[in-house]
Amino acid sequence: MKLKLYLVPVLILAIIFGGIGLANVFGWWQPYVKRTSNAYNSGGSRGEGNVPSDITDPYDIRGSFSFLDIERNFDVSVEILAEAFPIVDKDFDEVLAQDLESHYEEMHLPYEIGTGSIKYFVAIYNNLHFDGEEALPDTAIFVLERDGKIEQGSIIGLKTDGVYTGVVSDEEENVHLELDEGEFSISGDTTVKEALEYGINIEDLEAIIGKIDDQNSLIKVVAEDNGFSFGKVKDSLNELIN
Amino acid sequence: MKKRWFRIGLQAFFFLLVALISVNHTLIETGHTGIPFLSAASLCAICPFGGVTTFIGFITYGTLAQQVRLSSTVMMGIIFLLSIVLGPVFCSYVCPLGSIQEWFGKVGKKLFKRRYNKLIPKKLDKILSYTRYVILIWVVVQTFRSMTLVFKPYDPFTTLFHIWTDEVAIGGLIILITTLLLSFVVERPWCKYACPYGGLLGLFNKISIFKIRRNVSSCISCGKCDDVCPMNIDIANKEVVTDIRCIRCMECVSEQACPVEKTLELKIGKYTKEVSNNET
Repeated sequence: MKLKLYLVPVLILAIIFGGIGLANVFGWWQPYVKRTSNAYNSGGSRGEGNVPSDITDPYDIRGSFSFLDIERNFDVSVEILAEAFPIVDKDFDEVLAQDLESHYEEMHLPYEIGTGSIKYFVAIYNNLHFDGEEALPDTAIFVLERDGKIEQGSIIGLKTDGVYTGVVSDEEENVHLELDEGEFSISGDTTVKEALEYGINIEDLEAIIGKIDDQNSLIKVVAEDNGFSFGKVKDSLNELIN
Repeated sequence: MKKRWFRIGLQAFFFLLVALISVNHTLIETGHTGIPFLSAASLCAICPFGGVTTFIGFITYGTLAQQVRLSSTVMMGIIFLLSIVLGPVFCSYVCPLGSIQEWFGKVGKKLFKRRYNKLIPKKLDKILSYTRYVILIWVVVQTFRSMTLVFKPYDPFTTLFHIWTDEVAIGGLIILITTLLLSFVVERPWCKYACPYGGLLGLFNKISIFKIRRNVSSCISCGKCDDVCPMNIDIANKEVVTDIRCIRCMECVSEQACPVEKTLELKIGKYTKEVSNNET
């Protein structure tokens, strides 16, 4: 029995995509992280050869890292991570660092909590050097204080017990001043008040993002409330600075 | 339409698919909107070699090497199945790194004409091809010991599809550039001398269901099959091509290079005398 050449690509496509489809049906096609802590624990402990330990710098934590990946590389258990960044609708072994961003985005916090926050948390928890600061939720601060990693009140966390309306409290304003010591630019966590204090004219601002009712509101929130995509107006806003 | 276009078309398809998946992954990772209806999996999640390197660790510890996903082991199984049926067609029809070397090689063929791919003596060429197994053993053992992708920093495939990111390792970049430059003078240099996965799949030439077979009775020993073979295999003197270097590109078969009909074919079972006599 011989095989005509035109059938070779057909067979290749059928076997590859048919195989993937079949694997999908059986639930084996898992291109994203889905590991259980038991699988890790059964192999032994860190340093015995089976647990990767090549990542030692929290900067190397990427959005695609699961809590388990982080546990595997740093001395922070998934339980601690889940306590610090609680995402109630997901098992902690399925949570990726990048999930934090979308989770906290729904709370309309004044500052972004995402992969950077988890890097910062891991650095503090492991007493590792970390350049700069990132916003942390109050839950993470509670864990750090409870476990003696930081002194009480040394870092203020963002309140996550309620839904933010875009209004920034004085407490959070202080956090932001601590976070932003570099050159001024308008980003997702910049308030109208900050822009005005920098010297931007409110008329110029309103010309780009629409009517401003509350100067404590985030520029991003005002823009979006007025039907503008912040991503699209961001460049125009930063031109006001220049 | 020339039969060759089937292969070129499939190579282009898989090259584009892998490139777009990798771009999509970068977009998603950096917080941008991804390409709709396309997977945003990392390359480590779809690379069948990832499944190979982590396999021993997987069965020993029940866990995968870092960055490797279960889908990699699924891909490994699929490619093994494909290789059992057709031989290492993954290398010649699917692998984007093989394809890009081949495309660079087309320029090399124009530049060096008949000298192209003939610079290395055949004996040395064959000996060098075993380097792949040394690399394969090293990668599998080291991956098992560390459960990290030890090969990744040197992998030209990963480098090629991360070239736009900050994940590119200098070792991988040097190897990729060297591979592409060598492709101007040698056909598929990475596949021939260094690819651990190619080495592994090459073993399927021995056991695949379909094999390239030569009909000794009708063969006129013109040597055209040898001339077109990118892997420098001495096909004209074999009854069945089971050489571990063969990538099943089908360049040599009667539907392409071989001038005599039904003399070199991908088939199951030997040529019978009856068929041979009918053809001569």
